[in-house]
Amino acid sequence: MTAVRLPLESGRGLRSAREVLAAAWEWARTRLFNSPANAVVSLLLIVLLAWASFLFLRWMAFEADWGVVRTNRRLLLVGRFPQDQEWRIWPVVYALTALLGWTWGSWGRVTRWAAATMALIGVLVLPTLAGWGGALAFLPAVTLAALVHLVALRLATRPAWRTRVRVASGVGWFLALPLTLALLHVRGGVDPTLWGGLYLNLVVASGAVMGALPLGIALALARTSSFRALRWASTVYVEVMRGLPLPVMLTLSWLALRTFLPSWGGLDEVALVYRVTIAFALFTAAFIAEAVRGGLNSIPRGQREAAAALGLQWWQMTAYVTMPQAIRNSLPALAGEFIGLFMTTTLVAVVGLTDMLQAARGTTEQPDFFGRQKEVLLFVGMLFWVTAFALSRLSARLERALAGKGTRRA
Amino acid sequence: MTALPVGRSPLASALARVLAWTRDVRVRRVVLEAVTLGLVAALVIYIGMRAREASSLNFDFMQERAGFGIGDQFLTQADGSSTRWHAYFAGVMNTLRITIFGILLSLGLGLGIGVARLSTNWLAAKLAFLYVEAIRNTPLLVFVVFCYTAVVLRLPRIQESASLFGVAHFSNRAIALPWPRPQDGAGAFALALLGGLVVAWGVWRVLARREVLTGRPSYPWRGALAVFVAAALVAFVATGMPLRMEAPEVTRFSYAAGLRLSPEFVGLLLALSLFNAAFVAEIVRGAIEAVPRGEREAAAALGLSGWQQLHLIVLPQALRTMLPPLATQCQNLAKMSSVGIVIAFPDLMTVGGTVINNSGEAIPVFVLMMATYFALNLVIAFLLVGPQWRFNWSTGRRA
Repeated sequence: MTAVRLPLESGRGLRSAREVLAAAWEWARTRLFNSPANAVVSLLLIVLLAWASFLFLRWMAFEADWGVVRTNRRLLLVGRFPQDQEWRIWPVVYALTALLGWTWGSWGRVTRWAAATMALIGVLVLPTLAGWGGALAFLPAVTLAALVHLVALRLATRPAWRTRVRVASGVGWFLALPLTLALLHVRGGVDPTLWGGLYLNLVVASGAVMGALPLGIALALARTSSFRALRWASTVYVEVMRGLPLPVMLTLSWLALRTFLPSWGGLDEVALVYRVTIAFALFTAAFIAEAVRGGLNSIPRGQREAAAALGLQWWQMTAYVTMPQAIRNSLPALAGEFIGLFMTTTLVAVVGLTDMLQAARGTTEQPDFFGRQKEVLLFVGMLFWVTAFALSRLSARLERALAGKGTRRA
Repeated sequence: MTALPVGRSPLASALARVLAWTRDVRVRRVVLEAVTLGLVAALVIYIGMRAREASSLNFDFMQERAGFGIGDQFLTQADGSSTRWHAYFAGVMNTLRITIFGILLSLGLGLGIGVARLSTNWLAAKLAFLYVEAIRNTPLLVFVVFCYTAVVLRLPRIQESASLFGVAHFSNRAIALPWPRPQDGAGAFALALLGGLVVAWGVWRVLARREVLTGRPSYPWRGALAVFVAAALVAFVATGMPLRMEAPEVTRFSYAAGLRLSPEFVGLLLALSLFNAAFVAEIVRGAIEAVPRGEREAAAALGLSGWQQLHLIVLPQALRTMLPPLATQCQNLAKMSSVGIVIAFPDLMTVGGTVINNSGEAIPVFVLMMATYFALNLVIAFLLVGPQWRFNWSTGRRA
């Protein structure tokens, strides 16, 4: 950016409309019209932008009808989950929002820009489109998240507590999935074919993460191991998975995975949702393995040599020296994989499960809402966007907080 | 190791030797290596045996009659009575078609957006940033479903087909574009083009060599391009203009002549290209930013204009950095084109699924699909990263 000092930034306040205009012109001149070519490009873009905004606003004002979202809110969020079984879901919603608030607080404040974007879309736009009646049900959860966020933020300012607060957030995330699955199964449980909507996306994504992380770490260790058989097997596995399209893998889990599952304890009769989750886990593990391997490779030789000199066993060296650093180094890549995984769970459509996207497609077949694809898909897209955006900002914050911490230069 | 008492019995000494063995690092290594090898082999054998039980593991069933038609085909004519191989091949051609056009569109768009993100024009940079952020945090499948159901299928019905200057028609049945149709002599023209290409390559070599030897600018690329265009024009006229542009015509329920694209193809192509362009843009931006500032400053100090700095100094260096990740991204596009199954685009994934359903032979078809995607990945890697081996470009950057 050019370093022209603008009247707006001079800090003495503006005196007249004339000055405001002059400032605005100066701003536009330095950023949009600083050369003839740029002026042409700017004008073209302004015309294009104005035209697009006009079309969009006209559509919003006169054509869009968000009734399709309002009526099908429940379908989009939880699919055909039985209404009297909703007590299985609410604790998870509270736990997740609280965890999100806590994690965010423990790693520092949200930047103003990111917070504004998320608040605008997540707290204002989406509930407005989906109707405030249902959004109010989420108010206690959002309030809880905000409170927990402030508490964690406060606690994390004390150096003595900072680590404890952060560890607590990590432990919380690892307990979240077992809690979710337990709630879906205790006291009779709910038939897995009835799981659906956004909840299905979340369950499949978190289940796959829990399976893929240990497997991926094991694969990375195997690939850097000195045992040839392990190294080759891991290399072949990772390369096969990386060369394979995910939809093929999912179809495989649908039509052929049963063939390969052992029959002990009815394992080969496991529900489709679980088989798909296994496929996601097997697939994601390969990418996690690559990320962790990158982390392992970036550790200076001296670390291993020092560990060996101290007489540490291989597993001691891995657990206390190399793996913590490898995970920290590969955190950005891992976070990227997890966010990507959450978004690709929409591919469960390939095997005929009804996640949020497929539920949305179904709504436009209701006679009242023929041809309302734009509204409902825009809503679904925004919901995914807010979630993924929040996660990506969180990972960026994590990365900054961990940068340079505990790493030793070689 | 503990010292053993002197004068022990032969039995005790044998036992001690065995005990010492288990503590020998080299022996442990060999044993553990054998154990891991055994475990991996056992897993592979288990998978093989289960596959054997479930399937005959041969491809005989592929020679049987397919029994299903494929609506949208490219250069193939498979129908219900052709073999399953033929149907599968039609699917492969569809995957190739979507991949090639998707790669071309997303590379072009992504290059533009990536350069725009670094533009000094505030509006262009911000719009490009918004585009990338909006796309990267949204699932691909949402785009595919949106482009298909909310854009292409919402086009007017064919009876009210919208038209662009009367040469291109848009409706929810098909999109029809003008397309050159080969006439007599097209084969000769194609051969002549190939010949022109070879001659142009020769010209490029001679001029490039001269430039290196004499140090005088010889414009090898421009020279080669001029030779090729001239050769193409002469050949086109000489073979009696064997390509004629054909504008599509609206018939009662379809379009005649021209190029007809199915809604599934257009929806999928649109979504894949728009989606991948954001990732290409990030790769391009990263590669340009990775070129040391000094390079550009030095170019500016030598008096090169902005455009010259970009295309003579910055882009050639950025290209080396960006080719490998671009190849990966193109492979991703090829793989992700298989989501076309969700909107029933008959690519190799969809056709493969249908073959599994009506033959019951899941495992051989999966092996076939995997092999096809691997081959496709290899070809893409070779085409995009190949030049790097060919020209012996280094990807390493010296600070």
